[in-house]
Amino acid sequence: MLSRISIKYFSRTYKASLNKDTIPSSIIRSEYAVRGAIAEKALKMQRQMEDEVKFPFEKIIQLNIGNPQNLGQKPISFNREVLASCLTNDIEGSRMIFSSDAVDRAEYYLSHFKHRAIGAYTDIQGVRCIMREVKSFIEKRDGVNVDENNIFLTNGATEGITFMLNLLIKDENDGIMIPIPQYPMYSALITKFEGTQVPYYLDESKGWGMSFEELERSYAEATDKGINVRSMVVINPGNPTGQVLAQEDLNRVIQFAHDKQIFLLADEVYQRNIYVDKEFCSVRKAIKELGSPYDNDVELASFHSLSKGLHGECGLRGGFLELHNIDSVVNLAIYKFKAVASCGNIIGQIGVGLMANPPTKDTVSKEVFDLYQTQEQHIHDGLKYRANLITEKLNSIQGITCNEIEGAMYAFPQIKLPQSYCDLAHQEGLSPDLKYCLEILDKTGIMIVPGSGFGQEEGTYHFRITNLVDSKSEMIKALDRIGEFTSDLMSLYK
Amino acid sequence: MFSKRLCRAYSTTLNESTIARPLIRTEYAVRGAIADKAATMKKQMEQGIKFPFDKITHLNVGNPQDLGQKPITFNREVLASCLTDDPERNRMIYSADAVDRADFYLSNINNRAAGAYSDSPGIDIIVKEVKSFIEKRDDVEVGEDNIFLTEGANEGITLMMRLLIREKSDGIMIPIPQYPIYSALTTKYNGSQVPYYLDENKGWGMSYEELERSYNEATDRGVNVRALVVINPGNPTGHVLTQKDLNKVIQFAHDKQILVLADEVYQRNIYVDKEFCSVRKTLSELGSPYNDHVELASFHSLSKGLHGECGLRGGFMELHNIDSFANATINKFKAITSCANIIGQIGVGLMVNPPTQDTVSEGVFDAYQEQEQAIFNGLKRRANIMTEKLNGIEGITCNEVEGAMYAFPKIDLPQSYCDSAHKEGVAPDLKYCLDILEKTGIMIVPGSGFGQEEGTYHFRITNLVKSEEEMDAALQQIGNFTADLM
Repeated sequence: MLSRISIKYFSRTYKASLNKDTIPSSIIRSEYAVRGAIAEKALKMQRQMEDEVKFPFEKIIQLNIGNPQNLGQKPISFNREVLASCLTNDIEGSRMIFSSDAVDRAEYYLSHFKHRAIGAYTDIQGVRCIMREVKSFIEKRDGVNVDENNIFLTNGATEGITFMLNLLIKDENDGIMIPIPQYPMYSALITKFEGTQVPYYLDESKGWGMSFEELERSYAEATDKGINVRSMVVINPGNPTGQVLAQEDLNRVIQFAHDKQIFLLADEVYQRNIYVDKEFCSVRKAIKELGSPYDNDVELASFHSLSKGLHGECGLRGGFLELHNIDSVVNLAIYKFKAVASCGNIIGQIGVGLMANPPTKDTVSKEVFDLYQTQEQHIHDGLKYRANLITEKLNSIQGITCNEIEGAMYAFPQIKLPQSYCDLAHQEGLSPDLKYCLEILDKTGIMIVPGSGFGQEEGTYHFRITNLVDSKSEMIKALDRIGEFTSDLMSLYK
Repeated sequence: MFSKRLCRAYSTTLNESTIARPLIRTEYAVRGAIADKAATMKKQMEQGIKFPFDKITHLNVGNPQDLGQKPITFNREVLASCLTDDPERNRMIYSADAVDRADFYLSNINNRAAGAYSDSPGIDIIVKEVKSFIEKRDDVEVGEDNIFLTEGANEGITLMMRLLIREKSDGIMIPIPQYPIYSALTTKYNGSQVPYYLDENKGWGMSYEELERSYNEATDRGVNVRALVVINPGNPTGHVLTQKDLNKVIQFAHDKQILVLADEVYQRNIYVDKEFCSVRKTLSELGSPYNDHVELASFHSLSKGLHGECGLRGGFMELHNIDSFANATINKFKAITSCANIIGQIGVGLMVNPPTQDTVSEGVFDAYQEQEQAIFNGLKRRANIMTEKLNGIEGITCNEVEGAMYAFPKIDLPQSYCDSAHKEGVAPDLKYCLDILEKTGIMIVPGSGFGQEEGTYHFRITNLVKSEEEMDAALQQIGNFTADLM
């Protein structure tokens, strides 16, 4: 048999069967700018630096990803003590080095696991006692009644969003309305699932606000092209724009969704990152307060995450999905998806419990509570301070204008690139803002993301930069370098 | 607009008729009908309803710690120390070795932040640990760019299946019986399942002839066979493939120019006198042209073996001879989901780079060894007990459990029982498992969920209940119920 096969080999070439021609085209077309071209170049540069190649800067600074702890933000002590105590299940030992409140909370979680084993798979939807904490959290925040069966604990918010888009997109005529600019995961997933993106533009001249007219225009344009609009994504606070939607705005969104009978997807992961005098109102709450018929009809999936807010635990991968007014088959389908993917990791789940059910004055000692508050406040103050600092500094750079950062973790300034620069970029086959970001990386080591990755009005250019560098001096230095590079560019390409 | 709302009915837009059929059709038996019924019964028990047993026994899922297996102390101390980065304080209650290892990981993470996203493929230092592990185990050279740290082996398998299936005519060869994730994913991505049957008469072994038959039957019906799944040790069969077997698999894959998916998550769970040989190693030893050509994706996991850390969700995928564009695409995909959770990643590092006599104190090393050995001995002993006891039940025959965590016995259900089942619209082995659950509280999974030769019936049961007494009792009850049935 072996000799029979060897003869065959000598007379034909072997070609890798998994290649550009055989990979599903939807996957090839799917792009995720946040970790795209800029990240690839940075990786190359990182390797060169390791090989002792010299660059005009010391290190690469990742201002491209909303990754707080990578840039110096510290985790909340209480949370980590609870998680560590759960991992070692050594209550006596843990009490020697951690606060007894943290150990008590760990004990609470451990007592809900068979054999106190957090290393076991949990129920598909999540650990029951944590789902109840999430349920209480939503009920308290929004004044609603939540059905536990409509909650799923997920690996970050990403997992829940992925499930919903997978369910909503049956074929390429199914359209999903997404805000422009948007968090590129939406466009990436819509492309992956072979659906159609239906953009609705946020208004830069009005602080990135949304308008009912624009929603109607976007919807009408899509339906005219034969698209079946299935759903609308709302990101509040916005990413990359940071704008915080007022309850009035949300009412219009809900009424719009009800009128068109479309499914609402509410990405609310930055609900604790608001730097102006506005309150977060969840879509869930807005629907409830609008009452009948909206509260009985409009289908809604809301997403939250452990990665942002004031805990910034991106690496632990925790989040949840809450469903409202959905057909039972949806619940079943998500359950099946989750069964195949397996439960969310336990540490992430417990992290979500801690986020949804934080220690209060009545449940822990004064010392522990004060420390908790202090740590959270410090993080919030830092984020707010840097949001203001960034807005100010960016606006002082000639050619750059930046709306006030109301929330989230980013600035999304507009840059008026000279025509000659844009022409050169086009010759190089690059989007001008991508060329700009690649050059910034080259000259300063700073990673930012081109606006083309998020979507922008045609003929305008933007970039996204995070407000996460914990050290104020480092933040100022980075902004100064961007300022220098930009003014050089402006003079050079006048 | 207002009057419109009053006079029309609002119906949900996302429902059975608007969801893609493959998604509705996806089944995953391990947590299917049996799990649903058990959940219902559990609620009833909570409401005070009496059942002829105390509690529900989960012998359906490979979930070691849920059934009493303890985690390895050293590992948990390292993970805890990574989360509360205060070495001095940690040394008060954890071993210095564990704290040192945590420090090793943290010093290789930017800002010592275990709560930050890592690079998408995984934390660099852990990728290197995985690389060393494979190189040592298989005596090969591994490219770091070919390693991805994943949320369990699951994530890697899902990624590869997604890339391989473009349309209905793309087929994936799956062993029958198989771990149902393969059939579930093939259905979900709307591809074709191409079953190749393992031979129950030969200890669930595979044959080249059967691979050929399966392939030909598929190609005859217009299926474009893209890949072949090999589960070694097998799930649910536990069969351990020899290097000779693997040679045949590789030669077959090379001949047909198809990709091999090697699910090797049970490589540390072998209870007989056979050695684990990875597909990677086999390829390397077969040499040219196989080693230069055959596309391979190998999967490993933190969930099984002797650590059983299912809930931490750790795993890795290693690629070999994969086209660079495909590799870049996998990278892109990984980027969309950010990264695998850090605790799972560190768990994988600990699995592939365990403490050794030279790297930790004697006390720590001995404790580590003892814990692993106790777990292994327990799994082995219970595997043997299960095989023996099941074979002792009339109507049930069970091949020796060579590895993994399951027995997959065959049950000769009487014709009248089968007829009764068909009348109820239920597969006979599902009826059997549902009846067992109702009468004894024991959860097992019907063979129809895994695939079996037509006209035969099986069920899968795990060897994970830590208490031997409890396991004996469970097997006794299954024996009694089955005898009554017969």
